[in-house]
Amino acid sequence: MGTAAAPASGWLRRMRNPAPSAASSEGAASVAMAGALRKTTGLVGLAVAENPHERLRILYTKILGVLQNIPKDAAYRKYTEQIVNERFDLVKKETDVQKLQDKLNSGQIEEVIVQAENELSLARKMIQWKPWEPLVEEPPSDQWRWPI
Amino acid sequence: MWAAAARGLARAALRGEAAGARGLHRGCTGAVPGLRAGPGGWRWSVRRVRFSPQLARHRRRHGPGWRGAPPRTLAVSTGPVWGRGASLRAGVRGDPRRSVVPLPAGGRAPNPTVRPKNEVEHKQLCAFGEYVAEILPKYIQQVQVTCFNELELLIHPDGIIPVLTFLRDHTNAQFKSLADLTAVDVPSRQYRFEIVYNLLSLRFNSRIRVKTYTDELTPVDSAVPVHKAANWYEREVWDMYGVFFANHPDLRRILTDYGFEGHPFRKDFPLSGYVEVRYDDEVKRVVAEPVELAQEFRKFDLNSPWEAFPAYRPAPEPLKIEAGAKKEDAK
Amino acid sequence: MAVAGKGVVSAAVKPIFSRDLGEAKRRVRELYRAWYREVPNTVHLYQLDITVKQGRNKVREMFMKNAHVTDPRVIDMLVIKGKMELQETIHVWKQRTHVMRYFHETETPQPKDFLSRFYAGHNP
Repeated sequence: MGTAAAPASGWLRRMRNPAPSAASSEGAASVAMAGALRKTTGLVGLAVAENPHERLRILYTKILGVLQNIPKDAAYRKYTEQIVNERFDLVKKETDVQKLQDKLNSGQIEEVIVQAENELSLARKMIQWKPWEPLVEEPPSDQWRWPI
Repeated sequence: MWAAAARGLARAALRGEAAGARGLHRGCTGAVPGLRAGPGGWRWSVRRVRFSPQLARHRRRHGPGWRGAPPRTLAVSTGPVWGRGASLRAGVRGDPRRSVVPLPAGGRAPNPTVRPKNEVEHKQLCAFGEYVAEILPKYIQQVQVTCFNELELLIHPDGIIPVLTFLRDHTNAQFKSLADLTAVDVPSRQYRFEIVYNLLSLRFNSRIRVKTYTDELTPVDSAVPVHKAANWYEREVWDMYGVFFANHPDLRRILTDYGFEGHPFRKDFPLSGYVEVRYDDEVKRVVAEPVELAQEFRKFDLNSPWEAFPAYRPAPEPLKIEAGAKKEDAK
Repeated sequence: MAVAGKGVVSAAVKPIFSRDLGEAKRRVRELYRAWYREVPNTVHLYQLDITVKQGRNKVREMFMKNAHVTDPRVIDMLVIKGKMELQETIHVWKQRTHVMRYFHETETPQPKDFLSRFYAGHNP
C-alpha cells in the first residue's frame, strides 16, 4: 500500500464513521451495512463495488485458472500464485469489507479489484509472450557501457 | 536531449565523486549477491542472477538470502515499498542475525557535501530488480541500481511492450504512469540510440527506468498501446532522432518546422544546421538557403567541455602524458 | 571510443515494412502516384506561381534524387518521410514558403570552376 493512498483511506474511514470507537465496537457490522455507509470511493471513475467479495472471488479464480497454462517453474506463475492465494485466503476469511481492506493493505477494495483485473489481463498476455524463456539476444558488447 | 545527455554526464560525474569519496561500492558488492561492480565502480549490475559465480560464492559463505537484506520491521517502518516482494523473499532469507544493515565507514563524521546513502532503499531496489529479472529473463539483459538509488532495467528492443505491460499491470509493480520517454545518441555504438522510459508507480511511490536500444533503420515498437502518454514523446523522439516507432497512431513531426530536413539531436547534425532562413523582398516570402559557414565552425567532437572528473573516465591518457614527460626528462 | 561489437551484426535485420526490394518499389510507386495526383490541388490551394507541369517535374526530380538507393529499409524510411510531407501538404499545414522551398528560387548556384570560386572568395 502506497504512502499516498493510506491517509486517504484514513480520512475516508473517519468521514464514514465519525466515532472510531463506535465503529470498532460494532465490528461485526454486516457487508450490507458497509455497503450502505459507503457512497463513493473518492477516486474519479471508480465506482463503489456492489459485491466486492464475489467479484474478487471470480477474478482470483480466473487468474489461477489462467496461470495453469504457464509452466510450473516459471517465476511469474510462482510469484503471482503466491500473491493471489494470499489475497484469496484473506477474501475468504474476512467478511467485513473495511477490515478486508485494511488486511489487504493495498488501497480501497475497488482498487484491489482493479489490480486483480489488470493481473488477469497480464497473465493472459504472458501466455503469448512466454517471458520465462531464455534471453532472446545478447546486447553488443559495449551497448550498456557508460561513460563511453 | 542535450539536457538529458548533460544530466547523464553530471550524474556520472557525481556518482564517481560519491563512490570515490566513500568507497561505497565495495561495501555493497559484498552485501548483495549477484551484483557486480560496474565499469566505473559506481553502479551495480544484476545479470541473470541465478547463475552468477558471485552468487554461488556468496551462498557458500553466507548461506541462503543475503546479508544486507533489511529486517522486516525496517522495511515496514519506511513505508512498504516492495513490501510484498520482500515478504515473498522472507522465506528464503537465512539467519535473522545476519539481516543487519552494515553501516559503511562506522563512526565517521558525515560529509555534508556527499549525498547520504540510503542502504535500505538500495536493498529494496536490488531485490525488486532481481524479482523482475527472474520473471522476465527473456527480455532483460541487465539490471542495475545507480548510486542515487535509481533502478534501471536494460532490455532487448523486442521486449518493450511485454516489459512495460508487466510493470504496469503486475500487482507488485503497478508502474501506471509514464513520466518520460526520450532517447540518447551514442554514435560509436552499433545500435546508436538508447530509448529511455521513466516510469512512476504511485501505489508504491517508486520510480523505475527502462532502457533499450535501436539504430537509424530498426523500427521500435510503439509504447502507445501501453501508455497513452507515449504518443507525443515518441513523436518528439522521431522528430529529434529519427527513430521510427512501429504501430504509432500518429507519427509526424512535433517540434521542427514543416519542410525541415534532418534530425537535430543526432550527434552528427551540425550545430549550425543546414539551412538559414531570411525574408526575401523579391519573392515576398521567407526563403531558406544553405547555411554559409566556414568548415571550421562545423566541427563537432564528443568531448564534453565540462569534463571535470577525469578520474572516472577509463583514462589511460594521464599515464601517457606522464610517460611522455619522463622521456623528455630523460633526454 | 572504438567501434566495438561490429562483428556480431545479426544476419537478419528487422524490416520496417517491406521484406524485399519489389515491395519497397511498390510503396514508392504508390507514393509517387499520390504526389502526382496532389500537385494540381496544391498549386490551386497554395496559389503557387507555377504550372502543374512544373510541379510534377519537381516531384519527379525529388524522387529521382534518391534513385540510387537500393536498401529496402532506407527506401521505406524515405517513403515514410515522403508520406509525412504529403500529409502536411494536403492538410495545408505547410505554407506557401514551405512548398516553394523545393524550388530553390532565390539561391545562386555555387561556383564550380577554380577561377569563379576564387572570385567568390569567402566560401572554401
